[in-house]
Amino acid sequence: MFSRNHRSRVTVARGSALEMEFKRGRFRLSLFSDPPEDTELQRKLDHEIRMREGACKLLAACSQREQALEATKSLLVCNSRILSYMGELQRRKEAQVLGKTSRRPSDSGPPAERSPCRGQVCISDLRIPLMWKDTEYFKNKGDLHRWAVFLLLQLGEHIQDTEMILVDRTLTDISFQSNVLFAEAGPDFELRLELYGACVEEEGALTGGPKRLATKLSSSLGRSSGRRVRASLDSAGGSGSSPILLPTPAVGGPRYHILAHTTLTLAAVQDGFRTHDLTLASHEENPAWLPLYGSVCCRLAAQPLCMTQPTASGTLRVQETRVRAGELDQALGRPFTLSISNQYGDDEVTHTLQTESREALQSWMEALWQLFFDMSQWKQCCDEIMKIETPAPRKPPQALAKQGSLYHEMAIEPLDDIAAVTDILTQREGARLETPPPWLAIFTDQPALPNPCSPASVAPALAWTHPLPWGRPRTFSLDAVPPDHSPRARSVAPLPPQQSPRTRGLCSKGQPRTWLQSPV
Amino acid sequence: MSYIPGQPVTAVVVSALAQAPPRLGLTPPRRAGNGHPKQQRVEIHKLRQGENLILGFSIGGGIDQDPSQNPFSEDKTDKGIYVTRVSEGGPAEIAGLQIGDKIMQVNGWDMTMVTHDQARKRLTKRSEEVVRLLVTRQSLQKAVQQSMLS
Repeated sequence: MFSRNHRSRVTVARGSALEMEFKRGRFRLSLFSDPPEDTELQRKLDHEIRMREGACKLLAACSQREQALEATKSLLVCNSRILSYMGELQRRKEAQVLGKTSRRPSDSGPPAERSPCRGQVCISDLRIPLMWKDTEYFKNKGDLHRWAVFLLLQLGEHIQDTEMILVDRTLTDISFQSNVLFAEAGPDFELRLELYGACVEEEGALTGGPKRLATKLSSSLGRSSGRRVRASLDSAGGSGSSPILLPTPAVGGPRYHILAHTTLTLAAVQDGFRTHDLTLASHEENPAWLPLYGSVCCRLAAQPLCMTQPTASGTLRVQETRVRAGELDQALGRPFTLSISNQYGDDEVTHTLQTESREALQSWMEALWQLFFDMSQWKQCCDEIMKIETPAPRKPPQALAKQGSLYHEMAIEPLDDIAAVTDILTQREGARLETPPPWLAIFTDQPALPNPCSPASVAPALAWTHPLPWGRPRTFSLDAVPPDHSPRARSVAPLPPQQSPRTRGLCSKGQPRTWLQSPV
Repeated sequence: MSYIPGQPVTAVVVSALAQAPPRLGLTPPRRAGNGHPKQQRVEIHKLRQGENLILGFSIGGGIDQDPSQNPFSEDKTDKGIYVTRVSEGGPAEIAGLQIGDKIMQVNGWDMTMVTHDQARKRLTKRSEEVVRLLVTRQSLQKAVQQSMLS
C-alpha cells in the first residue's frame, strides 16, 4: 500500500481493511522514520493500542450489562484516540515533507509573524438539562427505562471523556462531576463536545412481546419516510465533520449512539457559568434517544501562559495607553528609555523606565509587543486570571447499584408518616441531607393531622422542587451559579431569573430583569 | 518609578500591533492638562469586623443587571456600578464617598464594564486593606432631582 519516498494521503475508510488492521492492534507507523518530537505521540499511540486490547478482552469477559457498557465506552474512547493520534502523526509527516512548520492544514489565515502563546483550557461543571413529558412519569410503572451517557471532548488531537452516568426519568439534568483540562491550546482552539448514550436494558427487551410488536407497528415508518429520516440523520450527524467515535465492532454488545454535539471556542470562555446550545443528533426512533432540552451549561475557563508565567515586567493589561520607546531630549540626558502612559479619565500619568543599552531596550520592547499580541488574541481570558483546578485522578467506575425510582421506593404507610419519607431520603444519601427539606415545614406545624395528599401528588413535588438525593442542588435556571457558601452578608442572592425547562417556548435568555444591590 | 508588584500597569494600544515592531521615536512623554471636574478620587481604608474587611457601602449595577431600575443614573442605559447606600460613620463615609456616585475604577481596575459580582469581588479582595476609587459625581442638585423623579 505504501512505498518509500512516495507521499500518499492516508485516510482510514470505515470498514476498510486498514481499519480492521489497526482494530486488531497490528498497525504501526513504522514505515516512516520518527523524528524525536513525534516519539511522544507514537508512545501515546502504542499505549492506546495496548489499552484497546485490554478493553476488548474485558468486554468479552463481561457478564453484566453495566460492566459491558463501561468496557464498550473504554473501547470506543481508545479507538477514537488511536484514529486521532494517527491522523496527527500523518499531518506532521506531511508537513515535514512539505517543509512547513507542523500545523494542521485546516488552519486558516496568513502565517503571522507572531504566534500567540499557548494556554490551558478547562471545562467543568457540565450539566445538560432534560425535558421529560408529563406522561413519562406515570406510564411503564413496572420498569424504569435507563440510559448510560457520557461526554467526549476533543481539542486538537487530544480526546478526553467524562465518567459514565446512568440516567432515568427521575433526573432533571445530566450532571457530570468531571473537570477536563486541555494543555497546549491556542486562542483559536475548537473544543468539540459530543454526548453519547446507550440503553442500559437490552434494546427491545423493555416491554413484553405482543405489546412491543404493537408499538413497533404503530410507530414504524413507511419505507420512503424511513429512508428520508435516515438520510437526514446521517447528514445531520455529519455536517462536515464525522462524529469522533467509530461504530462499535462488537455484535450484541451495547451500542452507543451520538445524541448531541456542539463546538466551543474562545468566545465561549468566561470565568463563570454559561449556557450553550446543543445540536441534537438523534431522532425519537433511536433506542438511545433522550429528551434533551437542547442546551449544555458549563464553566469554560482558559489560562493563557502569558497570564501565569511572569514576564519581565509583571502582568500587564491592555487599556488606553501608549508605550513608546524614545530617546528623550538630550537636555534631560536619559537615553534608552521606555515610557508607559496611563489614562485616568482625562489625566495622563507617565512612568519612564530606563534600560542599559539599545539592545536591552529592543529586547524589552520585543517582550512587551509579544505580550500585547498574546493579550489581543486571548481577549477576555486576560482580564483576570481564571482559576483552573487540576482535575483529580478519576476514580475507577464503582459497582453500579441499580438506581430505583424514588416513586417506587416510597411506600408511605400510613400516609402521614413523614418520618418514613425522611428516613428513606437519609438512607439513600447518608449525611448529604443535612437540613430537613423545606417542604417538611408544611407538615411540622400539624404533626397529628393525617396527610390528605396521596403519594402520587407528593412525589412529583419532591422530585421537581427539591431533588437533593441526586447530588448538588439542582435549579431550573440554565445559567445558575452553584450556591456560594462563603460567610458574606448578601441582601439578594445573585441568580438570574429561574425558569422551568418546560416553558421552552417562553424563555428569553437575554434581558436581565434584576437590579441587585450588594453591601461591601 | 515606584512599581508595586501585582498592581496592574496598563499598557499598549492594540491597534499598533498590526504593524511591524515599533521604531524608536523621539516624542518625549507629556503630561496632559486639566482633569475632569466631576471625577473624584476616594481612598477608603477598610474596617475589620470579625473575619471580614468591610467598606461600609452598597453597590448596584453591572452589565448583567437591568439598568432601567437604577435610580441614580442620568442615562437609564448606563450599566455601570453605582453607590446605592453609605453606612453612617463607616469607612466609605469618612473617606468622602457619597450615595449616587458612579464607580469608574477600583485600584486601577476598570468598573465600567463588569458584572455585578465582578464589581463586588474587586472591592472585597481580602488582600487589600485600602481601596482607591475613581468616581464621578453629579452635582448635588441634580442628584436630588434624579432620586425624586425615580
